[in-house]
Amino acid sequence: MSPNPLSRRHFLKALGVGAGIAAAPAILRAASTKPQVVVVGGGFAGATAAKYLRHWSADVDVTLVEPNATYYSPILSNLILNGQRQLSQLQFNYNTLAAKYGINVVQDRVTAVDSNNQTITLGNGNKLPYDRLILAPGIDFMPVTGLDSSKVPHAWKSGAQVQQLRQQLAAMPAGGTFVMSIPKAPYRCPPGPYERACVVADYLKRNKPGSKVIVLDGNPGITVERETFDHAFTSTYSGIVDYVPNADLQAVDSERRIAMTGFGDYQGDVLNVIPPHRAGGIIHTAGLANDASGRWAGVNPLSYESTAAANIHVIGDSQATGQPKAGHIANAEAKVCADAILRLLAGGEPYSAPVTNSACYSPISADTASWLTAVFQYDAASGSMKLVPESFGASTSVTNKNYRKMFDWSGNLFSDTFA
Amino acid sequence: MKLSTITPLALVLLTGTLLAGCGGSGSSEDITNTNSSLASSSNDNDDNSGQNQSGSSDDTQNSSGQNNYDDSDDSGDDRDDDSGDSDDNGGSSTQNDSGDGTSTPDDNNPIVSPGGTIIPDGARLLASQCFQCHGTNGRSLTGIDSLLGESERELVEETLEMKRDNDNDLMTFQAHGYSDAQIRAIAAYIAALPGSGGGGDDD
Repeated sequence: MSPNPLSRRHFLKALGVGAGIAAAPAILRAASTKPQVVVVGGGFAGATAAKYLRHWSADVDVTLVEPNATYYSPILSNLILNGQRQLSQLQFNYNTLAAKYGINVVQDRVTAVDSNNQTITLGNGNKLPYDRLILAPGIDFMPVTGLDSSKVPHAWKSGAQVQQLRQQLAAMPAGGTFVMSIPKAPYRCPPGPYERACVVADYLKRNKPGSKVIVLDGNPGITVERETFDHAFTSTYSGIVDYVPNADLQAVDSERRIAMTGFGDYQGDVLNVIPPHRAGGIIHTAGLANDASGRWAGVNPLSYESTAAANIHVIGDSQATGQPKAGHIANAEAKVCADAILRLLAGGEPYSAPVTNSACYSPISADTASWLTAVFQYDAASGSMKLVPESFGASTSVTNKNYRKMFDWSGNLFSDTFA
Repeated sequence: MKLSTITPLALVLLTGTLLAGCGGSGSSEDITNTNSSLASSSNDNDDNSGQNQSGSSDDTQNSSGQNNYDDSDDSGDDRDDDSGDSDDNGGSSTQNDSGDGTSTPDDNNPIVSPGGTIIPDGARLLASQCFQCHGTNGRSLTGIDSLLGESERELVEETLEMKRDNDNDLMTFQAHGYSDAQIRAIAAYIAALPGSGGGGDDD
């Protein structure tokens, strides 16, 4: 439906100088006849969606709303804990998206979504209109009794929290105990907590002899790459890692660093509690958390359009398709969504057979890694994304080659998302 | 650089002008590419940006050109192996003739591959799923192989071979996730992108 050049030129003439001197209206009308797509959230999902909308089409205006000027990648962030990476190596900004793709980057938070009038309200009170809205707010943490994450870091959103956990580990005495708590699935980055246990165990083994790692898993067993992590826990880090399944966290003493479970209390010199997750706050504010658990946003996997509100799409960790919650596949979902929105704006239908994939490398030590991968195909009969069984696999060995490939993988993923 | 504050109107004006001039699309992106600073504070990204910038010269060229229906003017070393031989892909051509059904043909929305395959519906989206690992438009910035520069036939044959493999390799599993028709669609799309057709035989 891209408007023909004549009508657009006519519009521009009619617009005259008015657009230039408009005095701060409550609703910021874009000086354009192009469809307006607003993307909320600048992580792997949101940044990719904004980029690919413009990569594929000049016939759409894209605004990216993100409260932070700097994004810290959770991918590779466990390598900050063992000193193999600095936070500065995992930080990204939105300058390239703005300069190269003409994306309008607005640094602000979103306080409300008005799906009837198709506007969002920014923290500064202004409203932005949209033809299509993409929400990619990532995760929020559910409350845990007694948990104060400023003292007991989750380090599950990257940045200062990871740095804090790094400092606590560096200050831990030799022979000390690191206790970590893994929430029940679904949580962000399925192998991530086990990867963290391994990386920390390796760091302590090298730097803090005699130390222990206690892994309190809220799940009945290792949720992914079971052979890899089971081998790491029982062989590579034998005598260091104590893995406790079904350890449902009940409460935390944040001052004394105690995790209370059905199996008893675990005190650590350093305590790392990753709380249970739910979709980012705006999903709940907007009334979109309509899946069975009430925690995630139901969407149509052909377009990621919300099943609760028209013209609003939810991608990444907040949506409820059952695909893993992780940066690589969030990028994949964002492309499905961007492609669908361009087709819808042009009067068409979303592509009927989308495919997504997941791939990730997990460091197991300071110089070895494993990998995990899967492909998901749309299943028309169930209206859902289904894992292709033959595509689901993991590395059978933990190697230095994998460790090096991990940076090739992440380098291209980072650039496909932010540059 | 305050681009965000000036962009919307400026882009519309520029795009409107170009649209009136040549009736194509994809213009505003090309224009912004020429201003690209690609600033980033990350070391990794700085590396990437540099290469990206050189990669974007294709786009820059096009902004001075006209429609991009045929991107064969993008690279002089194009089509050594595969050009002219429109039967290259034999049966791999699909019957679908709808492109992606929406966008005006341009650099990233080609309608036919150098081998003569009509780009099937959905190919753009399917191919983009390779770009997480292989780089945007298949142009890798790391040690992972670029897909851009490989011929349509090479891309199809290599991926189908991986699909027959049974080794413990990440791409073997990935290849098993796609139908043969999807693999052919992806190959046709990538081979039709600007900068493709170097005819490299690397794996």
